[in-house]
Formats: sequence, structure tokens, C-alpha cells
Amino acid sequence: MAYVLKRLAAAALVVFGTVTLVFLILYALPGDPASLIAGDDAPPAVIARIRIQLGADQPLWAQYLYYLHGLVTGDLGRSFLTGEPVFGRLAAQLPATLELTFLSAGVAIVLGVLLGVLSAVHRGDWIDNLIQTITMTFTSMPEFWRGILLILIFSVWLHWLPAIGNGDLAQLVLPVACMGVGHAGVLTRTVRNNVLEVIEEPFVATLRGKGLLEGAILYRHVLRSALIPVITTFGMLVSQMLGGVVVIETLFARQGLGRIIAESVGSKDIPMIQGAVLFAALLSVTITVLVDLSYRWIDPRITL
Amino acid sequence: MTDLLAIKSLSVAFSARTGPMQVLDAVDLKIAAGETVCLVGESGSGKTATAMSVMRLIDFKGGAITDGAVQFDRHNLAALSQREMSVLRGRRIGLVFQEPMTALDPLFTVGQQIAEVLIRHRKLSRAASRKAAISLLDRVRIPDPEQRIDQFPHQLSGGMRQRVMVAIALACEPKLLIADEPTTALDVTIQAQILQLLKDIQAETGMAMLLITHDLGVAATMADRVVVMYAGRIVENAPAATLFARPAHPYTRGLLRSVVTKGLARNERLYSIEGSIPDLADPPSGCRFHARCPRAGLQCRVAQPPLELQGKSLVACWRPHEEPFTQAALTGRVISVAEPVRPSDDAALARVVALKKHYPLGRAWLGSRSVVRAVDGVSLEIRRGETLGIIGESGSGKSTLGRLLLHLERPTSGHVEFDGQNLSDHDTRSLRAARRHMQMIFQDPYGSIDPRWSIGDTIAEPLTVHAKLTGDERRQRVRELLDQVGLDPNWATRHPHNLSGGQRQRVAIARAIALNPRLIVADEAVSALDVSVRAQVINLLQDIKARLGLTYLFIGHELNLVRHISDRVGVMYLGRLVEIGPADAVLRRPVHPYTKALVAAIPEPDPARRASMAALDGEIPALIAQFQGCRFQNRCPAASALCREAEPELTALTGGRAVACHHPV
Repeated sequence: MAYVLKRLAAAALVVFGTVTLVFLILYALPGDPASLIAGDDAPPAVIARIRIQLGADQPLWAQYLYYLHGLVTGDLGRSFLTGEPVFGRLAAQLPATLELTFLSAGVAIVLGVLLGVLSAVHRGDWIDNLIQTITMTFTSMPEFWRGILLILIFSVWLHWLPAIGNGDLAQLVLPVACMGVGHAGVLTRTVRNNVLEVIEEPFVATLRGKGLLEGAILYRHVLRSALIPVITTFGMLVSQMLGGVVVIETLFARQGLGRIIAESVGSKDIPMIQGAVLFAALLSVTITVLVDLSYRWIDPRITL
Repeated sequence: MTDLLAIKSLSVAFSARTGPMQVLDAVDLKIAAGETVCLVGESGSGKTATAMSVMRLIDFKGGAITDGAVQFDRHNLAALSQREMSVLRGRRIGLVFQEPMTALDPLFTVGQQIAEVLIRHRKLSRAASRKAAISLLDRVRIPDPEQRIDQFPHQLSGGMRQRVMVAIALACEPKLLIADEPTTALDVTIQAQILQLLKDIQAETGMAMLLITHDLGVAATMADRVVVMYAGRIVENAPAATLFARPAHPYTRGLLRSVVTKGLARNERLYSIEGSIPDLADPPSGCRFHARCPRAGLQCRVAQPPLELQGKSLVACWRPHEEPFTQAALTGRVISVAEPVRPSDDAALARVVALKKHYPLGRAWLGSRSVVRAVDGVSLEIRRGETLGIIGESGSGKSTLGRLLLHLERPTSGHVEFDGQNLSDHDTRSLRAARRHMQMIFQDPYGSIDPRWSIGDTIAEPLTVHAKLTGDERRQRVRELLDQVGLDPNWATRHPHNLSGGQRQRVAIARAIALNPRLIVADEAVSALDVSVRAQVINLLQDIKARLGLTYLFIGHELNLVRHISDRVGVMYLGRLVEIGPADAVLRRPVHPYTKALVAAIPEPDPARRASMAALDGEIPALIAQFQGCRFQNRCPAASALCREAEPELTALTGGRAVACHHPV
């Protein structure tokens, strides 16, 4: 329990660091937000008024404290462009992104474990080679290229699935396939290599000596040992996917955090970017903490 | 008597890149119900392959049975499918492996791992299997089985884990137990306990045992019948009493002579079988032992001798021995080494003063952190030109002492003097300079040599660090060193993967003596080697010592071997030195009850002396808290009220001996 608290404290520190860093970077960027909001030909008086409204005339530390205070109270400011509250906008977009990421992660882990084990069991024969070749091909393709191919094949040529938008499940299939399958390739290789390593361990011979069936040995014992490094990889992949939504959501014209980041960066909508980065950081940190905690659940030797 | 297991003309081959490698060649072996058969031989002889073939686990290692049958209880195991085999494994045939550290799944509790067998074969419910597992733990004499059952393997000691392995193997009351080096990784005291346990259980259940061991002492203690294997064939198969009294095959005699027994006088050259085990990818013609056999003739080179009955023994030899084998024959044949360099003066080369090393346990939150007292107040001196042996069970702190002596680790308190200088006063640079006089040889010849470096580079590394030599001078020195340790100087450019364990250990010795050091710490330097190779390496260490005037700290757990090589012996228990003195005196007439127990636990290769194997109860505890009184009190037969109150100090006796005991024997 003490460990969990320590881990959470460390995670909070990471979030705080990210928040500070994002604040500083955006502050240091060239370009004056007030003149951006006011428009190109606005008179200096208007720009000055906007600047006071924004608090941009305050010293840096005051702006920072004001920003932190806002964070704690759930106020992330208002969009420079539309004037709507950032928090509300992001909260509305979050479910779409979570849906996409978690479904993709689910596809990646299920496919990765199944194919990885299959590949390991058939080491060296054609099944192994086939799996290795296919996963290698998918993994080495850039994400956007994978997406374009999928759209081309399944939407343009075959007319099986819609290419864009969110709403029903059919619209999720292609983006989830694009992210999930690509990352499944990495997991397949990790699972395969680890299973092959664990299967050589002396305790597996003991299990066979006990008369257990190969299936039980593989899925109950070997896989569990092999999972520890796989989960590390998986945690990193999910964090990567959160970054990948920028590309995927743009490509498949979906709503979501990634789309917001892409748009806000283009229009220098600073509060929106800050908010989106904060959301992404929180998600990422949550996943890392879950991964760390899962080690101990899997491996009793780990005393953290 | 009906045969429970009958192996008939069994041949097994592995497919290697260079072609098939036949690891077993027409092996015939029978085990009657209730009988104990010991399979002995050096590594590569095919002992483990035989056991794995009976279990059909050989299939998973890339091996295949090419010929023959394994008859067990109406089944021919060689012809069964893996699925049919799995019904017999764990139920009719139990299996115990060597590695207690890695043979259990680290992610499951010991209870789950025992219950698994019961659920699989006896179709017990979860609750019933848990109850049965608790009673099994109790049966293998694990204290507090109700608590232990929910522990994970890493929370148990090596001895306890091996008991769990035995519990798993016995769960379904098998008719045959196959144990592959079940006690090799354990201390002698724990080995004695496990062997006793196996015997007791055998007496209760009447199961048969196939026990694989390289230790002839263990074989003499356990076996009804001993089977000797060499290069994939059985060379001798005889009742235990006959085999030890009248070994017929020259290889059997060679093995027996290689054993360092209690009777062997100190400093005598150890007998070793010439040469090494042949490559099975290209086995020798005729009798596979002929190249190493002192009696070999022409017939031995061309024709394979059949396994034939001769007296009570089955022997595969054209020229078997018929005369009885005795210890006298043994001492008569050994060549005495030159008298070792006597210490010119009694001045100490190294001195250890009130040395302590405490390792913190985890990270402390508040207050004082708990520590493991690995070495806890040891003072001793190593005299110039002597060999000081250090013995004690694992966890006694002997390896830590060795590392502290070379200042590979900084002591928590106390200090080490080398040649009159306090090593703690040195800074990093002068310490490095001082280190050229102190070298170390490690236990594992596979782990202590970088496989990516050539042998020459490995040996030259200390020269590169400490000596300013030109490339040519360095190469010349490497050739000299290889020659000194009995390796071909042209091997300098080779890589270690083709080398045997013994050859690797020679490389490690060459590296250690490269700088002409004055002190060498050998930490279990021969423990991983086969008996005949071990004798060669010990002889080499003795020769080099005499030639270069070295001083050794020899850390080991084989007491007879330590007595053989050492001038003086120190006995450690739980971080303290409990007894020290001249080797013969300490190990032949021990004074401390702990030393006495250690000596008693050595299995001697003589079935007639079985009764002497007395097990020391309990295990070495993990010493964390401050201890009140003598550390050995809980396992000591002589412990009194005084022992519980006051810790005995090391007190000098006559004859250069000292002991830390309130009630010396």
C-alpha cells in the first residue's frame, strides 16, 4: 500500500512537471496571442485591452500561478478562437479518443498474444514464418500509409466499410485496425521471443515431469512469466497510440483529442493546446502507473 | 523379483547442425520394484539423457529415441505419445531435478504447484488438493506447512525448495522416482537431510528410485545397485557393495581414485584420469574409454566390449580388473608433489581485523533499517606462502569474506591489511595498484569469462591494465601463461565456446597469475567441475603455488578437498569464524560442534560406512536481527543456558588452533 501511495506521488510529480513545461514552452514561443486573437489589422488599443483580459500583461510567475489555480479548479481557460471553455470542449472529445485507443490496444494485445504464442509453438516452420512476415510488413509501414491503404482497399475498392467520421461501430473498424494491427506486430514479436525464452527454463521441465498437459503449461505457466516484459512494451505502446491519434483522427476525419491538438497547433490556440497536452499526459501517466502496479500482481518476487 | 523398469538396448540421438549426435548407445538397465539404482559418470556420459528418455522429456530437448524399448508396468514408454506419457508422468513416475532455485515456477505459490499435480492426476477439488498439499509438506518435513503453503519459491531456502520438489514428485505415490542430481546444489548438511528424507519415504512407500549423481559418496550412501556410464554407454553395473569393493572397469576405478577421501594424506598429488570425455559427434572406435585407459590393448581399440556378467557385476571391458580395490591401493599409486614452499617467516601477508559487512535489506522508511550481517566481526591472518581454506554452509559469509579481502567491497567496519598496509587508507588509484598483487578465481568458469573475447585477450587484460608491455611482449607472456596452466599456447586466438569447464577454469587461473600476484582468492574454484577434471585443476593450483610461491585463500564446501589443499582451515557460521587451525587437526578432530556436524555429513564412497551419515538438524537462518548468545545454539546438540546468553569468543587452544564455543567437544 505504501508503494501505491509512493507511486501515485511520483506520478503527480510527473503531471506537475509536464504542466509546467507546457506552460513555459508555449510562453516562450514567438507570436503574441493577443494580436492573434484581435486579428491582423486591429488597432494597438484593442490588442492592449485583449492582453489585459488575457492577463498577458502580468509577470510570468503571476501568470503561472493563475494558470495553476485554474487547473485545480477545473478551469483550463477559454479557447482563443471560439471562446468556449477548454475543459468542456476536451471532455466532450475525450470519449471518442478513449474509445479508439482502448479498442486498438485491445486488438493489439489479443492479436499480439495469440499470434506470438502460435508463432513460438511453431517455431521455425511455415506458420511461424508466415506470422513473422506479415507482422513485420505491418509494423514497418508508417501509420498514415497503413491507414491510406486500408481506406483504399476496404472503402474505395470494396465498399465494405465507411472511411471517415465517428458515430457507429462500422466507422471504428478501419481506424482501430490501422492502430491495433500495427502495434500487434510489435507485441507478437515480444511475446514470441519471451515465450521461447521462458519455455527453456528448468521449471518447464518440472511442469512436464508433473504430467501437466502442454496447453496448461503454455497458457497457465509459460505465458504468465513471458507477460512481464510484454506488459512493459504494451504500456509504452498505449502511450504511443495516444500520440498516434493525432494522425489517425485526422486521416479518418474523426473527432477527438488528436484532432483538437492538430487544429489548435495550426491556429495557435494556446489554452486548447495546453489542455489537450494535460489530458494526454494524465492518460499516459495513468497507464504507466497501472503497468507498474500490474508487475507486482503478476510477479510476487517484485517488492517495490 | 519383477522388474519395474526395463530399458532395453536404448539408443537416443540429438540432431545437431553437424549431423546426428548419439548420446545413448544401446543402454540396458533394469530396476526392480523398491530398488535404488544410482547412475554415475561425468558430464556428457549420458546419465541425464537416460533419465530424460525414460520420462520422454528428451523429445522437448531435440532428442529422439532411435532404437530400443523402455518397459514400465506393461507400457513401452518409447512408443507412447506425449499425451499418453503425460498421464504416467507425475502419477506413476515422479521427477526431482537438480536446480532447486529454478525448477519451480517463481510466479506460483508452492501450494499451487503441489495442488496442480493432485488436480491433474487424482482429480481432487481445489479445497481437497490444498489439504493434501499441506499434509505433503508436512511429510517432507517442512515446518509450519499451513504458512509455507502460501509462500512463493523465492521465500524458501534451497533445501526447502528441494523438499517441495520431493513433495510434488511424491504427490501421487509414484512407483518410480527419478532424481537427477537432487542434492548437487545443496550444502552437505542439507544434502544429508534430503537423502535421509528420500530413504525414509522409500521405506514407507516401497517406491523404486533411479538416482543420478556424479558424487560416488552419495551413490555409496543410497544405492542398492550402481550403474557407471561413459560416453553414452554403460560400462559397469553392479551391486553397490561389489562395485565399491571390486570395481572391474578401469573407468570405475579411475573415478573412485579421483575422489578425495578422508583417508588421503594432505598435499599428495590427486589422482586424475588422463585426457577428457570424447566428443559424441565423433565417438572413438572400439571401447570408448580406450584412449584414456591404462590397460588398453589392440582389441580395445577395434572391438566394442559387450556388457557381460563377471562375478556379480555386469562389465563392458576386454581386460577387467579382478583384484579388490582398497584405499591402500589408492595411496600407493599417487605421486607425491614437491614439498610446498614453507613459509619463510610467520609474518602475515594479509590480516583481517574485526571485519564486518552488513547489507541493508530494502529501503528504510523511518528509524533504523534492517541489515543482513554477512560478515560480522571476523579477525584472522593469512601467512605468507600458506593456503588458508574457508568452509561453511551457504550463507555463512565465506564468499563475502573473500571479496572483502580484495576490497572488491568496502567493509562496514574493521579493516584489511595487505603486506602491512591498510587497504581502507588507499584511494581508488593506489588501491588499483595494490590489486595487482591480489587476484581472484571464481566458481563458474562459464560466467567468469567473456564469451566474446579470445582466450588470449582474456588472459592479457590484467597485463594491459597493470603492466606496460609492448604488443609482442604481451603476446609472448600470454603464450607462457597458457603453457603454465597446461593449455596449448596456440589457443590464444580461440574463443572460449569450444572449451570444456576444466579448460575454462585453466584460462581463469592463467588470468589470475598473469601479474605474478602474491595472493589468490579461489572462491569455489573447482566446485563446478567433474571429479577427474577437478583433480587436474587442484594439482595445477598446487604446482603453480609451489612454483610461484603464492598464498591462497581457498573457499570451498567439499571438506575433504579443502583439507587436502589447505595448510590451515577456518570454519565460518553466520558471519563469524567459529573454528580455525591446521587443516588435518580441524577436520579430523573437530572441536566445534558445527565443524563436527559438517564433517559427519560428508558421504564417503564406501557403502560399509553408511551409518556414519548423521544429519545436522535445521538450516542456517538468515541473520538479520541482533543475536543473543551463540549463533549456532538452535542447531547445536550441546547448547546450554550459557550459550543462549553469551556469545563465545574465539579462544586459542594448543597447536595453533582456536575455537569459539562454550562447550568444545
